[in-house]
Amino acid sequence: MRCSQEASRIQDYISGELGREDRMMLESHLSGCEECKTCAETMLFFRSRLRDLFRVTAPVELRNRIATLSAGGGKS
Amino acid sequence: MTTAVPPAGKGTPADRFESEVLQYVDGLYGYAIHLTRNPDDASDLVQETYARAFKARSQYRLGTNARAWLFAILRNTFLNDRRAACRSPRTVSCDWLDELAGEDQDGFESPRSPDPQKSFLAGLMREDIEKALNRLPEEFRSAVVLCDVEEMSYAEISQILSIPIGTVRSRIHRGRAILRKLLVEWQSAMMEGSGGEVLAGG
Repeated sequence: MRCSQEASRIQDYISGELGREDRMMLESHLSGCEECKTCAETMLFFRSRLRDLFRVTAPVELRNRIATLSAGGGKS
Repeated sequence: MTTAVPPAGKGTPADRFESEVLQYVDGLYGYAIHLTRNPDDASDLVQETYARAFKARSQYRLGTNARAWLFAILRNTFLNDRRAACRSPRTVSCDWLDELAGEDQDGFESPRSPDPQKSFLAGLMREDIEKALNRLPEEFRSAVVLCDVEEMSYAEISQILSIPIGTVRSRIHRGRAILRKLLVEWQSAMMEGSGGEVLAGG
């Protein structure tokens, strides 16, 4: 298994897009290939950083504006 | 001013519609910030999205994917507003993207060891990553944000962006690789002292 070909599969793996069989094959490869394992860990970590940094809560004022819409204009 | 959201499956269809769509305010607001790059514009965009969704509620079938439906409305609203604001046709040149992604399109550069990579990533400021994200054309930024921040499936993103799943996949792969490359380049420039303002500056 050539590692350069695995990079694309690792990307789909961290997106949660690999089927069960592909996932198991890749995980088996990762357990024996330090380079791909590091690549996967780094990508997973970067993804979690993105999620942690950019998950936001909408301002209360916006929620109130939407509540007004749903209670009034939306039903007209 | 407050709305009581009934539990799913209870209440009238109108109530159920509202309970389904109102759970995505935070996600829509987060995505709107990435598109507009401005909290006030993001709020306006989300409000407009809900105004349109409430008007178009008859087109929505209860139990189908409300999230994809709403995100698609939000993005289309944004793109239409932007087209109206700048009349000139917009084309995205991907030459610089290809150049930037280079041969590393599918993955990150092979690190010597995991620790320096992780400490580098852990040390990245929100502003740095935001700046790198903003360098991406909207098509790539949307794909990466919807996948990595909102944790949507390729199929859901395909529905929102109206593009085939294969294209979603390649945009996410390429977008991530470019992001990472930009951040590494900026970091290197800073370390060399030749670009101390690259990250901090505008």
